[in-house]
Amino acid sequence: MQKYIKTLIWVLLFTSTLTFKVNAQSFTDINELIEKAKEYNGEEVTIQGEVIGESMKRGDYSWININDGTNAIGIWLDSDIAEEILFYGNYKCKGDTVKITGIFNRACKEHGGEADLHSSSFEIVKNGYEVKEQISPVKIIIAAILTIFTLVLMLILVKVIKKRRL
Amino acid sequence: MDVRKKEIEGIIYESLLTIFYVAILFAANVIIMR
Amino acid sequence: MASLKHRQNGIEIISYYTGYIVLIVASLMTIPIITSLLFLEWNPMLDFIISDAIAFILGILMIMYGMRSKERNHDIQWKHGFVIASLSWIVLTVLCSIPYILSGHSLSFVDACFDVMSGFTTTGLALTQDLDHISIGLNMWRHILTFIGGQGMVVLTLTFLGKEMGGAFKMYVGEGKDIELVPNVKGTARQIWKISMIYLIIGTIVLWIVGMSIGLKPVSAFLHALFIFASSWSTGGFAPNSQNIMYYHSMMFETVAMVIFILGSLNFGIHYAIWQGKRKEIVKNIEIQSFLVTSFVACMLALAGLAKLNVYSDAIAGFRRVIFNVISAHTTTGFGSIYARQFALEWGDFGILIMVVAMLIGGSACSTAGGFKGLRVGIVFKGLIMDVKKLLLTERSMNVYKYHHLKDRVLDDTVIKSSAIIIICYIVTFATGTILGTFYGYPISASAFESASVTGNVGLSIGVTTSSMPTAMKLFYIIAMYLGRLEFLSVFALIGYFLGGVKKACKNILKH
Repeated sequence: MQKYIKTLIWVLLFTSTLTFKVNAQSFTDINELIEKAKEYNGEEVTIQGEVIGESMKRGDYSWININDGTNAIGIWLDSDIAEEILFYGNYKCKGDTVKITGIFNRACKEHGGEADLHSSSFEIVKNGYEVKEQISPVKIIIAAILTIFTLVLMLILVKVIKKRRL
Repeated sequence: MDVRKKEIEGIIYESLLTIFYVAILFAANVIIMR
Repeated sequence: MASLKHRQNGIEIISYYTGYIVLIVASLMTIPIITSLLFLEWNPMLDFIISDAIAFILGILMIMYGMRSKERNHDIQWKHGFVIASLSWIVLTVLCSIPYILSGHSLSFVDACFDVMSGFTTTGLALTQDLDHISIGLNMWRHILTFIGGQGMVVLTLTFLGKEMGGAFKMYVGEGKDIELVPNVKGTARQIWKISMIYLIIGTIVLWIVGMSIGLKPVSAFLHALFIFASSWSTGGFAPNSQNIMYYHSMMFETVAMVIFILGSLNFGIHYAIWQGKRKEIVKNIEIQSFLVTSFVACMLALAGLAKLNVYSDAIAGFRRVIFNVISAHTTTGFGSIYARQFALEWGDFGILIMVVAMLIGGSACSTAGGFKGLRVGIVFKGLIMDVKKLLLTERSMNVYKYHHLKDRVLDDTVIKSSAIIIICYIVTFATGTILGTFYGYPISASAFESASVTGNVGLSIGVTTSSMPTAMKLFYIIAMYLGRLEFLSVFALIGYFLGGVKKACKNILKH
């Protein structure tokens, strides 16, 4: 009897760890949403990615664009919530990583047929930051040498043209 | 500056006609999407 | 040997003028340098300084080589003009790819060249990685490439160096244009630039205002306006962000862009005529008539076909997702208001086919657009009607058939023949691209769509164009974009000239 109970407990523990493993990625790739748009249409999904560019306020609601590395999509959310975002991704910054849950629309009726996500829950998972540029001294030296060489050649060209005119 | 005037009129004319064509497309689209 | 001297002279002429074109485009590379400086983007600034220096050095060396022989025999023939046009595009493709490579946003040299050629030919397909994080300097460069490509690098050079350019007209034609707005080529080039620059100012301001009204901040709204204008007017299709025109989520923005790209797809001769007060041109012109008919029919067919499949539910969606994309395809712009894969997954074969035909027909001749060109479609169509009429009418009547393109012209067999031949060249290129796609396993509708996009210099994608695409396809697409944009003849001339030289070299070797 004890053996059976022990085995049962081990099996339960084992299967529960499996379930935890499956839940490890609890969000969907944006690209997957597009690929299976008809399936996901109207469903509540969760995505996670970097906020890029800037927010666009349209009254009580705003648009933000999220890029999760697989693709990028527009999120329609409350303007107040959008204002919580500190960093937007571009050349100089890595944007805030956000996790958004909401209804995915393949061809949103409210937004003229656009593929978008209407956010119902929003969470900043990781803060963004400014990316410090690493400038290699080799690059500076090469740039300087090439510039000097160019200017020299330009002078030679001007001389050659003047000589020709004579 | 008669040349200038013709050019400005030309720009307005072209732009308006293009906008007009786009409007026609929209109208036809509304009819089809009913 | 006289012919050897002749050939040497030819090479010098080609080197001289190609060098000048390289120099002019190299000067433009100072714009991204200044842009990166303004926005404190140090690495891109250095990348552009390095690339610019290399371009200047090469340009100067080519000019100096062209000045080698003591006598200045600048008797430029048609073959030289065509070779200069086509060769300069190849040299510039390599030079202008250097900033991309240095930025790290291109996964390979081929990818970088692909993006540059895509810009020059105003196609708009991009293999650039991580567009949402590229520097403003590099984004500025991408959009400059497409704006310059739209007007033409030869046209740009002709604006400045008229005095030096003996065979100017021959180079101008070599780049795929033949309309003379005013009796001299330099004047024509200047007019083309004037029209583009005036629209640049007006269009950018309008888009800037719209941009701010939809929520963009002032400085970024300006940059977006400038970039989207450049891309719209040149019927290029590049956009500063990975979501293309969808980034803005705005019907107003899309519609303004659409008005601009329709205007941009029109023949410069038409703009010039209207700016001179010849308003009737817009109704009488065969290209306008052709475009109105084909674009309207394409839109209606696409709407009907997609309505049947219930892809979009209302008129607004129909306008923003169908009409926008069909007109984008037809004018060979390439802005996409849906995701590339949605064409494949949601539009169905009928919708895809309509897009393929629209992309191939293309825009107007002597404009920034690609494709067969409405002029040729109109001419061949009218030629067909003419032949049918000839059969039906009595054999004794001698009718002269005409068409109107800036002026009344005779619709004779020569005109019909040359139009038909170029259309055939486009079709062959398109077919080859489609076959190549299917060879690599892509479905036929996707292969056809992408091939049409490339051949017609459109830039819409159904999802085939990615960095992981087979290299052979990337190379073919680069060549197809190039052939399509220069309308075949100058590239054939370049190949012929090159082969002619190889043949002579072989003959000389065999003699000894």
